[in-house]
Amino acid sequence: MAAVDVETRLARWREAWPKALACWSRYTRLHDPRLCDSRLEAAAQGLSGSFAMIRLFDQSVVIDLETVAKLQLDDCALEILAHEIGHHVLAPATVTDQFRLLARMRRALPTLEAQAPLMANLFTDLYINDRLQRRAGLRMDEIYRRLARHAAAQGQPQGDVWTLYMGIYESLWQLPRGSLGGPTEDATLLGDAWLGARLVRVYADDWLHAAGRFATLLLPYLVAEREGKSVLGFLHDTRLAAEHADPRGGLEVEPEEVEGSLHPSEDPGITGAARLPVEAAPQAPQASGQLREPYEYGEILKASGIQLSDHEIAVRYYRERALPDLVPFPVRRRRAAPEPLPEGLEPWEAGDPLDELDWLQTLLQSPIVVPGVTTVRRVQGEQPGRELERVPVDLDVYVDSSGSMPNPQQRVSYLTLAGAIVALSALRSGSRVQVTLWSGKNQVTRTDGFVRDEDGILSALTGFYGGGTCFPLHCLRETFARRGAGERPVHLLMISDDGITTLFDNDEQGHAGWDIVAMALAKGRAGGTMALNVPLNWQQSRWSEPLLRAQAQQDWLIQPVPRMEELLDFAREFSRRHYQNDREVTSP
Amino acid sequence: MIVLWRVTTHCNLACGFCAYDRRLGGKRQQIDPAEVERFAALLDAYRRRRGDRLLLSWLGGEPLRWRPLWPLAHLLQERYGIRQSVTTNGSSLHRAEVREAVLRHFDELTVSVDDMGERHEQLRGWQGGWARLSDSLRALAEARRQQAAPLKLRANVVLMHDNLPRFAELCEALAEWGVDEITFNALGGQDRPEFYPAHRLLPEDVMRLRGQLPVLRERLAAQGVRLCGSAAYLGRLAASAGAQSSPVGDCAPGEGFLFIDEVGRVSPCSFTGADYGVPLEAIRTVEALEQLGEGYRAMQQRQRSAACSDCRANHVYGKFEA
Repeated sequence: MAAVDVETRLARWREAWPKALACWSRYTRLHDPRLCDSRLEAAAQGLSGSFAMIRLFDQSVVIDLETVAKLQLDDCALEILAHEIGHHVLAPATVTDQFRLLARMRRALPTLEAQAPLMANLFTDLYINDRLQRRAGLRMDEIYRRLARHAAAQGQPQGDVWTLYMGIYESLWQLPRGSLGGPTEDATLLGDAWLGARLVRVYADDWLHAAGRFATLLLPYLVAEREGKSVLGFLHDTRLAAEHADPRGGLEVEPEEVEGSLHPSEDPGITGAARLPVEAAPQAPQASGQLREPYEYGEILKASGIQLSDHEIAVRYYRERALPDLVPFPVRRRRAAPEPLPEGLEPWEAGDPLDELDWLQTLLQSPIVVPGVTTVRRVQGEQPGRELERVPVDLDVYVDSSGSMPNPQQRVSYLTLAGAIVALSALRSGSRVQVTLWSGKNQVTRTDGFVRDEDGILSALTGFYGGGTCFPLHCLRETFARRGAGERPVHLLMISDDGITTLFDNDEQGHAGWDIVAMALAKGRAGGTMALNVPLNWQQSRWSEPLLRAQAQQDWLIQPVPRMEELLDFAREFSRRHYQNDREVTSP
Repeated sequence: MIVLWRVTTHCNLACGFCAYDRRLGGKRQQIDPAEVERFAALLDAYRRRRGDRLLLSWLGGEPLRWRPLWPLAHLLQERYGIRQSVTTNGSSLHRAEVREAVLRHFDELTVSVDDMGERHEQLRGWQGGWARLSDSLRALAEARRQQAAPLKLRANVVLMHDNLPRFAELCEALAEWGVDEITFNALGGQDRPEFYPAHRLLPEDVMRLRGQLPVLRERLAAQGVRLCGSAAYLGRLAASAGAQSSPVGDCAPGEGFLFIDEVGRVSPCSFTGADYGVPLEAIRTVEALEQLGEGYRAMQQRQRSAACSDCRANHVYGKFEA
């Protein structure tokens, strides 16, 4: 093929774009593709390994024209672009479906979960290419022929995965055996290729349903094959499909995810059986309502191309899990609500309500706006009024992260989840929240005071120490020592186990914990609750004495939670019992 | 038209008389299901053009363990309404799912049973197989009754010198399990020559069989069970036992019966694939299918297969007739 200059090549590809869109529908709209004329430029876009990629986040198509030329695919612009568009309009189409697809693939590839992204890619390609080849009349087969030729020229081995995959195309498109590199003699490969093609046909309108079955079909070949995937690498154009995306949902294990990991030869949709002609196996647990562990959730996010640390993933995880349980947080009313009276300015910080930001005064202070530094808001004083005003109760949460507690980044931590439910509910109703995660001496993570920063709160909650048990009395002392009488009431919430008794030890300055707690409760003016992972009859335990005393003398509400899962009930009940009735309080 | 298709030579049992004994080495073959799908379309078109009835019978190895079987059975039934049957060792019939699929897709099921109890298990290398088979067939018969499914349940016995004394007892047991029809054939020597001499039917065995058949047939008929095997068929058995060859002049090759093997050779019977087999790929039109018989005759005239000099094709002699 004659070499073409960059401009001519770019022009050809631009010309092909509208035609590629029309292959799907004349109403398909996507912004123009990013045509990179060098691998370097493509790499800057995040494209490496393949010659094309998509991003679902910004609905982009990126093409590496240098690699395209190297693979002698220059004249396949229409096919390649239409294929990439197919990922946007057919499969996976959305971040959520990419997420669901990967979850199903992973489930069907035990021990080979790392292969799920590539297998998911190959799987969706089947549907896209089949439609383009058969309905739009494009030469999708030619691309595979050339890729195989290139691989052969490079001396890259053709593994069974590739052979089977090509066999599926040959079967789908009724091409002669081996014409794309599919099996010619191997009866098992031929049979499986036919089954793969049946799968695509039978689930033509419900591709996601077939995902686990496809992975199960390929699993034995993947197990046997540990090399020769470089050709497949060229096809991996959805590697970063969900990069920068914020997938909602995905926590719940869908029934189909569990039940869908079956071989196509045993699929009732393909065999026509009412039940599966498979070896009798123990009944799989009903998956409906089952939720993933943080680790698995994180692995799926990462497989989707979302690049986050384990801690950041944990923040997303607990936010997602808390959402269904959020309630309007306690609001108290006080009589004779005052009228607002402008009194001056104070710094506006990230996390404060945006509508409180005084733009005029901010810009007057500095034309360059630096949130939290140059931003200000107006401080309103009060004058007596007659309207009732809602006064949110701030929340001061102390979460035990000692060795007796699970790591929330690995396994579901009901302490963290309960903390997230209560804290996010508080934020929702206008309260500020301070979170202190604690374990041994000097093992403390906390938010920057009482904040409305959701990420900051969840970040503190999802940390983990796993160390000793020593309640950070200095934190409690400092929090309330400087709290003014005119400030909002604060409810103290301790989520722990019997290690909470260290709350009543002496602090590092020799002050009795008992006195510090009393001072905190007095200044907080909204009481305190302890949700403790202890037996229901905790009063009979040898460590119960200080708690009994706290209950009697300081009016702590002590809620025993024998099973960690019950912390969720506590979190829901906590809000309902204390605050949903809009009780009125007297002014301080 | 009856089409017998040996789709796989894989088997899970270890029968000392069988070429597909799982203990034997050598390459195992399976047919490409894409070819089955393609050829089934031709068979359907052929059937429609001729106004003929068509029965496609799956054979192995063990066909129920061939993965594409159920998808194909479903496809052929849904798309073409092709009647199908299967011959199985019964080792997967204990699964309710498989029995359901059998009832759903097949018109006939033939299960191979050769002897009573442990003897059958030893012959087949299948410990516990007798009880499992008994339970499975009873359950299948019961499910068939409940669903009023049209499945014909058949048992086939490979007769040997060793098991002949218990043949009548075996037939009674099979009748009790719920089978509708019992067929038999004599142990052949082609598959496992080393097994054959010590176990083959002797002329006196066939004579004894001839003697007991009428009474046994009558007794089974009273239970609603048909014991097959025409007089001609018994004659063929006697000839084999006496080492006499039975040449057949004109078996009407390719007219009402075809055998297709696991590598895709289409032949007039299972013994002539090497000599007369036409590759599946060569049959791409109904006309080509119609011309098969003529082609086989031409081949017979050109160079007669050795197998035709001593025809052992059961269907030619009326194995399924009474």
